Amino acid sequence: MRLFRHRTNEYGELECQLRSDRPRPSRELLDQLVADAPARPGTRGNLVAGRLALAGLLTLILLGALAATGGVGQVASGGRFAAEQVKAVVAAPFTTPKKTGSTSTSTNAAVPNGGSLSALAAPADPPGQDQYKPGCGRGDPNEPHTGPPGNHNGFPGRCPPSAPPPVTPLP
Amino acid sequence: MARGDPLARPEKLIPLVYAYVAYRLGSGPDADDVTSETMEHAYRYRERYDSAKGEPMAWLIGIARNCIADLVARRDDIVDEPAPESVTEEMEEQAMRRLSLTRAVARLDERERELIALRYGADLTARQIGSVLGLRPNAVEVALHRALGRLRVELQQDPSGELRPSTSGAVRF
Repeated sequence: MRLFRHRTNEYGELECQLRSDRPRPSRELLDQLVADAPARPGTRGNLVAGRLALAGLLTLILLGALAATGGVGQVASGGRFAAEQVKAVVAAPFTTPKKTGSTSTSTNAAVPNGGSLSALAAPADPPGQDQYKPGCGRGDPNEPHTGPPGNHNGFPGRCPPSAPPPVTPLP
Repeated sequence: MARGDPLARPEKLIPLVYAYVAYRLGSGPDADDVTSETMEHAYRYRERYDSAKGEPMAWLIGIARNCIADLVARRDDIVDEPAPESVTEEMEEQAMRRLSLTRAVARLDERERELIALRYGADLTARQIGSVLGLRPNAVEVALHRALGRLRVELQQDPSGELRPSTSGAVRF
């Protein structure tokens, strides 16, 4: 230990001189090299990443608050209802409109874009009517009987044409 | 990949790089050029700095050593002695002492001059010097002790600071 201390102190003055008298750059060179230092390329990227992280954190906090108050389920059901409504409106023009009888009280009516109001208001017959099929001789005694289905002589335009008979394959 | 900016405070690092280069080459245009080239490389490749491999100063010294090697390879007629400065009767004692010290350092052989430059120019520790030169820290300490002894002898033999012919030849790495 004494030897080590002796060794370190042996050139102490010389070491101090080497440090204090070390060559120094001129002021012009130092200023120029410091001025040439470009801004660190990653600084802007780090700033953007920090902002994105903050936005993500706030989003997570909001979702946590919604989940705690049951808001997620409410939002989900609302979204499902909206999706069903949109689906009904979009899909209505591609479905065959339901034909109803002449005395039917259906609210089905054409809309300018080819859709159907029934798709919006009443996609099915009301429960009070779907068990009664009035008109055109289809079993309702309260309606004028015009004969077999499709036979609308005497009542032109009141009954829809009957469906073609099923084709039975030959043996 | 880079972890941390090695050049966050260039005003602190540049004087150390210059001192290292000047101890190696002598103060003058060569030291200015090599320091500028070193900092230019450092600015350009700062993203490659890996703090796991060493301190920013050691990284800069590695670049400076390569720049000095390039300079020596380009110029075979490089002179070990610093550029002659006008020594007048009115020169202050401190300036005389500094000049004498610089000349004494220039008369050391390349290995000793490298050690002096790394330790007292760049202010690296023995461990950092060991990582730069591929030596163990205690081997660095012993070599430094020997170099200081040689330097003291040179200073005692030439207290007036007069120029003496170089004995070590061109700097080679």
